[in-house]
Amino acid sequence: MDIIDILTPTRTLNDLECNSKKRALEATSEWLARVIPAFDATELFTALISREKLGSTGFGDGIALPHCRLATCDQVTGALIKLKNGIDFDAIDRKSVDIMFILLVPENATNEHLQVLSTLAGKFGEAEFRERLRACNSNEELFQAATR
Amino acid sequence: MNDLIESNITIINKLGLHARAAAKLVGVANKHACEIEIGLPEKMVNAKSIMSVMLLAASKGTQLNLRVRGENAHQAHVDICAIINNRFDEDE
Repeated sequence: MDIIDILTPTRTLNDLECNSKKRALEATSEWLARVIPAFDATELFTALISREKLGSTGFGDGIALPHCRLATCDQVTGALIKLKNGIDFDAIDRKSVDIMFILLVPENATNEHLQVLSTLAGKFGEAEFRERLRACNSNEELFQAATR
Repeated sequence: MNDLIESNITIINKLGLHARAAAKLVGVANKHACEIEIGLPEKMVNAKSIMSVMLLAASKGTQLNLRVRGENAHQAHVDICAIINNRFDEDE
C-alpha cells in the first residue's frame, strides 16, 4: 500500500483558500463531490465533521488526516489538499494546519484502513516529505511530490 | 524511582489501533514524564507520538511489546494497559 494506490491527480488540490476548519472541510466536501459523482457533498461534510467532534485529526506538524467511513465508498479513497494559509484545527500540538489528507473508507475495511493510516503516518511523519509538499506550486507538482 | 517495566499486551478492540484509539493512547502516554515505547520487537516506537503509533497498524489480536522507563514508570504502565484493555472506551 502506497499513496499512489489511493490518490489521483484529480483528487489533489493546491492552495485552497479558507479561514476555518469548518470551511476547509465544507469546501473540500463540495470539491470532492464534484470530482467523484458517487459522493454527496452534504453527506461527506457531515461524516467528516462528526469524526472531528470525537477528536481532532490534526495530528501535529501542520498535518490533518480527516477521515470517515462511508456506505457509498467501495474502495479506500484519498485526497490531498494544501491550504494557502494555515488554519486552526484544534490540532494535538496546537499548531495550525496547512496540509490535509482526506481518507474515505468503506464501512468494513478495518485492516486496510489500518494499513493506509500506517502508510500515511510514515510519510507525513517525515519532515522532508512535509516540506517537499509545502514547496509545491500547482496541483500537478503536489501530486508528483506526494507520490514519487 | 527509575524502573524499567516491560510486558506484552494484546490489542482487543475490534478496530485495532486506528487513529482515534492511537490518539487516546498517546494522550495517556503524554500525561507521564517517563519514556514509553510500544510496538513489535523489530519495530518499537515512541508511544507519545501519534504518527509513530499509527505506523504500527496494529489490528485486533496483535500482541505488542510495552516498555516503560523512568519516573513513575509503574503508574504509566498501569494507565497504558488500562486504556488498551478498556478497548479505548469503544463498544467492541
